[in-house]
Amino acid sequence: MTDPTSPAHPTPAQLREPGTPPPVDLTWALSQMSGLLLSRETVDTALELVTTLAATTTAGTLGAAVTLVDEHGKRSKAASNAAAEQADALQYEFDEGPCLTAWATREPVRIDDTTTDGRWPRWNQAVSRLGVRSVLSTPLVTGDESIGAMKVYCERPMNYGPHDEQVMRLLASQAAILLANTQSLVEARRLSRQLTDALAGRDAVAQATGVLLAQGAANRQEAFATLAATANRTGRPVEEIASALLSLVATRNNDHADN
Amino acid sequence: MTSHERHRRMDAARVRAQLTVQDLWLRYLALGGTGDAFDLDGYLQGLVPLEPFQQDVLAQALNEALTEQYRSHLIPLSTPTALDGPSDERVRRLMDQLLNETAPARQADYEPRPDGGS
Repeated sequence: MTDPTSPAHPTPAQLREPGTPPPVDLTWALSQMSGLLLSRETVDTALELVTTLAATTTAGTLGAAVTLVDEHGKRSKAASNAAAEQADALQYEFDEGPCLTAWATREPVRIDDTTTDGRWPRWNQAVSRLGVRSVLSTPLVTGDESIGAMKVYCERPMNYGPHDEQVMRLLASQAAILLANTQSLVEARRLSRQLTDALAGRDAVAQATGVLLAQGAANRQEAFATLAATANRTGRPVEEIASALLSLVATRNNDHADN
Repeated sequence: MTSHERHRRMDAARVRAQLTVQDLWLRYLALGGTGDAFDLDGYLQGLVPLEPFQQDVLAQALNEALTEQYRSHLIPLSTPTALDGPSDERVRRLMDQLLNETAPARQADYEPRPDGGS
């Protein structure tokens, strides 16, 4: 994969006729995302790529960011620069703003000029002081779930038009799939590692139970109770006791075989 | 303790040990528990019964998690104590007892002597 920070070639807005199809950059952008899913599937890389793509496929963009809304609450997970990060932070602080609305309503939100827009007065006022004048925010929706929003900020008013909205909509639908999948992949990996650990412990406990059964324990329950009692007397976990028992048996068998 | 109280105490212990139901299930699985995560969740919420042995495995998983958490808060003394070494010895002695005492009569024929090789 190429470096996601190396920009594509944004077409200046003024050169585009209204209603023309999306620029060729979008093909490149979409292929970047499909490649990522197969190769460098980390959430951070995915987020970085998505913000960079949003910034490079919309002309005149000052900064781009992705807001992911999960069980940890509203959070800006990636921003291409400090201005975008601050603008996002203000949305969470005021609990209002275009991205939160885009996420909640699942409809794109466009602000042509933050100094005249009256929908989010506190936020508009605050970000216009940061130098943000126009905003385009698109919801990230996968299946039935709205997982957040991706947005671009510009220091000029009236920067984004219906065409940018269309481009962002296309990009957002792919980005949403990518982000949802990378997140579930990370979760699946974590669970798979934990399961592997758990099964290793389970093996030791099962084998130790078998040893105690061979020693005459009445049943598996009694064998487990013996292991648990020993664990509790020594303040060690059952797994450790089971492993110790197994290595002692192995040592004895070896000694026995040597004689 | 009635079985009704037991599932509540177990869920309280789970919260105290800061485990999600899934974390607890993984620990219970590691100890040989055979219920799935939904069985555990249902039992902890008092919706479905869990057989006594599975309850014991679950209890052991919780006790170990609580012990771990408690120990992680202990402050070590500035003078190290020699407790770690002897504790290993103690485990070894208990293991010897386990292997020798569980069924002495039946084992007598082929059980190697405790210090068989040396």
